[in-house]
Amino acid sequence: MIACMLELEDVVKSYRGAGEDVRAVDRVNLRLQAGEMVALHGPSGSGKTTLLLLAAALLAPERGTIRFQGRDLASFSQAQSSEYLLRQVGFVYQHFRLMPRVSALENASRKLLMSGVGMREAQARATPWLERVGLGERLDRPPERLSGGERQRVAIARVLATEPTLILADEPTGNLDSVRSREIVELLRSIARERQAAVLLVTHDLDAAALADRSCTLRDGKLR
Amino acid sequence: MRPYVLLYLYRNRLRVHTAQELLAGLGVAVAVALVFATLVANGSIAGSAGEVVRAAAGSATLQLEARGPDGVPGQLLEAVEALPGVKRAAPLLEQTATVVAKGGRDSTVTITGTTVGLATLDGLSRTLPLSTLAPGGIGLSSTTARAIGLGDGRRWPISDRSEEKVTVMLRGASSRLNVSAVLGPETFGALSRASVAVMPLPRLQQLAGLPDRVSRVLVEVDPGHELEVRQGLQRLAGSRLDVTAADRGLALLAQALRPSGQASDLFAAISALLGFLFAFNALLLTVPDRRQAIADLRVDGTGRAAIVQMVLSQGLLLGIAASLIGLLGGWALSGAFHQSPGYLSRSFTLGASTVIGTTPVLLALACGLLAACSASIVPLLDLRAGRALDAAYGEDGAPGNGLGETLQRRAALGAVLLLALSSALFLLVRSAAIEVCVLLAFATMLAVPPALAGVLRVAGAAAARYRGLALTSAALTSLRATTLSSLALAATGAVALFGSVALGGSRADLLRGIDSYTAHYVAGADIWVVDPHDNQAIDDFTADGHAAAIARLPGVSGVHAFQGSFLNFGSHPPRRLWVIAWPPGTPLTLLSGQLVAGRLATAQARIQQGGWIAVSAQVAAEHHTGVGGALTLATPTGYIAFRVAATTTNFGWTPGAIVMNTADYSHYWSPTHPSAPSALGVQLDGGASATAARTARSEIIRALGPSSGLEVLSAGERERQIDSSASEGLGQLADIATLLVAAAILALTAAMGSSIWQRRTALAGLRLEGTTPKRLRRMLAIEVALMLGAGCLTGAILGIYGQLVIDSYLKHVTGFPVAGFATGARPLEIFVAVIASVLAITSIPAWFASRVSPTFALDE
Repeated sequence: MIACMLELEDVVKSYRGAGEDVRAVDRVNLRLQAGEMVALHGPSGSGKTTLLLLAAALLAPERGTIRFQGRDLASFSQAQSSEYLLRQVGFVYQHFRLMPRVSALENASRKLLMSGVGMREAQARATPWLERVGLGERLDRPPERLSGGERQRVAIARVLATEPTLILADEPTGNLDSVRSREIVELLRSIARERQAAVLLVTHDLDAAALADRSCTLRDGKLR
Repeated sequence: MRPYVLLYLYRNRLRVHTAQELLAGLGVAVAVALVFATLVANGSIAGSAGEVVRAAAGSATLQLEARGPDGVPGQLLEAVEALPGVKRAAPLLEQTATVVAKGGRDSTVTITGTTVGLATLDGLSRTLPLSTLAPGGIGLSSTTARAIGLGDGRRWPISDRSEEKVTVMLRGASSRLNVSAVLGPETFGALSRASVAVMPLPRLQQLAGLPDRVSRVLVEVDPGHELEVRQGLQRLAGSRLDVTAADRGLALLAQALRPSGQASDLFAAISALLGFLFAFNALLLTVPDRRQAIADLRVDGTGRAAIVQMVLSQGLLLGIAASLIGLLGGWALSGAFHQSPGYLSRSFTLGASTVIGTTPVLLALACGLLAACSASIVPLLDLRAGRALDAAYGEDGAPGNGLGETLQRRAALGAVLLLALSSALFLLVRSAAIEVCVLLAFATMLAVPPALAGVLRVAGAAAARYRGLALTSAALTSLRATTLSSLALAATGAVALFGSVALGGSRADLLRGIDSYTAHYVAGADIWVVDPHDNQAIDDFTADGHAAAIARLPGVSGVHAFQGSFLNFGSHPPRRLWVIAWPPGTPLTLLSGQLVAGRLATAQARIQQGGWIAVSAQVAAEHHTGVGGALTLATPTGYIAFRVAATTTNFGWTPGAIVMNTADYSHYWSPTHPSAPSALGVQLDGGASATAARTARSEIIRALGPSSGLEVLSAGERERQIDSSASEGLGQLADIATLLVAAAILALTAAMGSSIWQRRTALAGLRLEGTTPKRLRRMLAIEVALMLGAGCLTGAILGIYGQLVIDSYLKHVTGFPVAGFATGARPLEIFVAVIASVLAITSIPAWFASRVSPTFALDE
């Protein structure tokens, strides 16, 4: 087993502002172990989402190195980056990103389908994950007929169905009340442990961050 | 990506965005329908005429053809049949006549007199009822029967309806004939769809006063003997007859249809451009959703190629479905458009069927697919480096949303370059009207961004200055926020106005030009006596005693015999020229305003003197001659060289015209019937007051007697008849121009209505801030007016330039008598009609959207 799933070393990323460059991520060092959930919290504009996108290889750092299972993400070709996102990474959004008027099961199967898995197999593989997140009785329901927490759980099931080793969650509880938030974070943590996956949870909710194995604060791009 | 995954994704998209996809599909379907209907309607005239010509010629490949109305001796048939290599030959005499039913409804038809030999040649001998060629009767095609209201055009055998009679007005006489049969497609093939009639050859020769004469002899050749037979026929023809392909009529018709074909091609190109814009508008509404879907897929690791596959497949599926619906709609529309142009029907035997070739289907499908696919790919801009996350993070709206100064500058530069390019092309290659107009249409689209920016700037300045225009400021803010969509909508209005103004304006100029020519033409006499509906006076008639009888009437100061016919001339391209022969003593008023080169007085004097002609400029140019030069015509009496006194317009007859005096015409065309006129012009004493003309007209009708098959018209009546025929010939252009604007209004209102409806959240937000529904409606109306105003104004201005280009093409390349360029109020009328219609129709969704509950903003 690979102990260190994700490693960020002296990572720097800036954006061009109106007059001068804004450093969104400033010499960040971070390591995530398999089965570990790390919460990254901080105020709006502190660079949390940028850090997440760097980890997903959707942005390239100006300086520093990001390694996944020991491999430098900068060395990835475009195809390898896509493969990395498709097979290894699971992305959970604040706004769920579900297809309206389409059943929970079809939503949870979507990523598998896009990875080339047949429809029947995709649904067969997604069903246990929907059951695992407590939606076994609501497979046919479209998002409109699910609560906010249930929608987020469909989104999580969609990610888990591909059995990723790295889950990147961008404010997954941002649209939920405190009870549902807790449920979702605990679900992510238990799955991380069970599957030996690493979870990087971006949140500005301190209560949610407290549930993680480890919590870091990002302020003005610097990790504290 | 596997095909079923692509289908699955599109099925899900359809479920979620049904209305948007329907709207986009509607845009594509409208475009395909316009393109298809235009191409089919135009192609049908030549296509159905082709069917008729081929059906008549059957297996004949060659023909020996007379050059004049008097035909050739029938005895030639035996000589033709005796030629080695001739398998079969059949004679036929063709005469244009008017058939009148009991109820008074009439139709101009081509009567073919023939023998069983022709039925054998064209394969109709087994189906054609024997009664058709029995003596004493006339067989009518079902189209002719329908036109005159006879038995709803259904076929019947002679035994059932032998009591049915029609009056046939032919060469100045009218005769009552039994209808021996009405011939439907099962017995008469494609000929049933043409305005034709058939009767035994000897009977028609008798009715036409042309005993033992035929118009042509069709020849079927034994395989491998084509050259031998052609040489044999040429020996028989000498210098007085033509030996041509049996389907030569098609080449002549193709040449005659060329200008209207060009106009239709231009319409098709503009329709395709509009279709792209319609679909683009509709699909723009879906861009935010599509961008988000693409961003999600990319974050999920879907590769660029797979995303491109998905987007294109969705465009393709939408394009195929919408194009098929568009083809059906276009087919229905083409039926409404397709009318055999009246001005051609006397010269060519035209069919009435809609002929759909593969080219229009493929072209219309390609346009639909291209429009749907190219409009779908806007979200693919996100696949560019650095744009992967725009939809998912950090940016709202559609890609390239801003109307930045760089975009304005580039678009303005592009528009200027295209204008310069089109102007250069216009000056250097006058015949490239379509290419110039397509470039102008693209320039119109590119001119919209700077025009819209300009309008927004002016409106912004006005709003800042006048406190009463506060709502305009709010409307401007909304417009700036949805600029790409606004641009597409404005461009749609611009292109629709461009097409309609350019083509509609040219049509109006052409009609005015023809009006002016007609007025000069009919001024040659106060009263005209012609064959019914013979606007060009090309069918001669037996006038034994008519002229003298009319001349004896009180108030009549003189009667002149005018002559004319068609003459097939040249081979590259072959033209069916209109020969106009006026008597020496009559001032050649028809030349007034029609000269391209030469002096009017000199030309008139020379033509009167004899041996001189005026000829259409494009014909003279083709034969490298001009004023003072010579032009050799293949007349019925041989090849005769005439001197060119002047070059002229084409007098409204596409292939061109020749003007000469009747002495020359009689001498070279009809030496056997030197006095056979095609029109009698009656001069009245002391000019022609309306009352005097009416009285004289009645007297002339009485003098001609009840058996006359002639029509007596005052100059005014004849002018109206000719104008009406010309405007009918150009009617298809008017139909399509109107449809273009109607389609644009439909598409604009659909897209704008949908756009307004989708903005309910933002409108609810404004209501939360205390804005009343009434103010919201006014704000939306201002937005629509500003957006469309900018687009339509741009389109109207460039449309006027397009009109100038088309006018020039019609005048210099086709030789039409186009009146001087004048825009009149038409661009303004269309401008107001489009904006008012769109404002009126979009006020309905605006009314409902403005009443959205303020809490809607919170719900969303």
